[in-house]
Amino acid sequence: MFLFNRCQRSDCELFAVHGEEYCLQHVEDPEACNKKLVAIIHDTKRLKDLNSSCITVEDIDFSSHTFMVCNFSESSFKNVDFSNSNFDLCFLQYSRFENCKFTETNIKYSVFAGSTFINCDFTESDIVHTNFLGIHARECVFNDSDLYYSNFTSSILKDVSFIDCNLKKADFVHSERDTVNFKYSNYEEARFQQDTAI
Amino acid sequence: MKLYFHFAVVGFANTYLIGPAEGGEAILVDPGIMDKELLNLIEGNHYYIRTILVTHHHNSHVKGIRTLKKIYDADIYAFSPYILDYPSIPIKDGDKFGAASGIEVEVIEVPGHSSDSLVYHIGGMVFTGDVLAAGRVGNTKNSFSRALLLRSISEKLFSLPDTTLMLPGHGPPSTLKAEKMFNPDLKLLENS
Repeated sequence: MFLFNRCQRSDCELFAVHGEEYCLQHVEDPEACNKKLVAIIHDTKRLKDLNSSCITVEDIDFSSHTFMVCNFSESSFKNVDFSNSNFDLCFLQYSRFENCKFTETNIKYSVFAGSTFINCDFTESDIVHTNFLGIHARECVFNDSDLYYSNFTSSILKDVSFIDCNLKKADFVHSERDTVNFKYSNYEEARFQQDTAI
Repeated sequence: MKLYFHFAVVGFANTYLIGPAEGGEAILVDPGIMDKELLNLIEGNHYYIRTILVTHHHNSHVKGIRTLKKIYDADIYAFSPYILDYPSIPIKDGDKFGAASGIEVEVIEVPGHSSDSLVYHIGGMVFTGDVLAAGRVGNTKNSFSRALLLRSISEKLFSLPDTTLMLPGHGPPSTLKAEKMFNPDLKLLENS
């Protein structure tokens, strides 16, 4: 489990980043710290308990990595390749993903709530028990993926494709869907209307 | 402290294992089933179950206790004095106690889904059982119970920091901030 150490600044609620006493915004040299964290992630194929919220990552290959219980919340990822990677109990909420590749990934028990996805590809992935509450997704592809028990409640989806997906117990309640394709998927087993049963 | 997650296909419920990084005495939250996978998770990480935390007395959250008690000498903590046929240590709102390996547990009573519903606050995490899940609140028998549940969530859970991780009895994990912002069931709170 990543440490829940808060940033030492009294007015800051963010978590301190890996190896520091402050969050990324309040370390002495945020740019150098960001660079160091990106290098750690790039060079370590199996990452565990890493807290690196608020990082900015661009044009890098993180494919075939394993992320276990890591925190990347409020971060920005542009042109990042996560293909063939594993995410297990990871927190990536309120982040921005632009032109990112998640093909053939294995994502479970993770949180992407409130994040923005632009032109991201999740084709042939297993994305189970994952939280996409309130996401904004535009021009994204989830084709041939298993989305068992994943939750898209209150999300805004535009030009998103879920062709031939397993949607059993997936949740789309209160989602706004514009040009969303569920062809060949078992959308009958997903939840689109609000009820109260847990 | 480490956290592990187990999904019980019976009842589609989540069980959580919490223990020290190096192994030793550990906590199980809501053992809905005791199967080979959960046993491997416990033994493979060198844990011994000393504490069982029950969020509420529904089968999908407690059924594994029968098998667990044959293997481990674990104390059961719950609102009710008995869980299945086993005596428990009754706990109530505001109680704080040291569980397995000295891990500090705070009890938050959130009635509504059931009269014995408890939420456990451990570190920066809350284990919500059927009180609150990602994007939805627990079902209730009547509108009074629903109002009670919504008010309890608002007053007792949402007073915790936004960054608190939420680990429900069913479905994916979440954070309290995400629930405040996107849970449509909780929009009723804003309107009330």
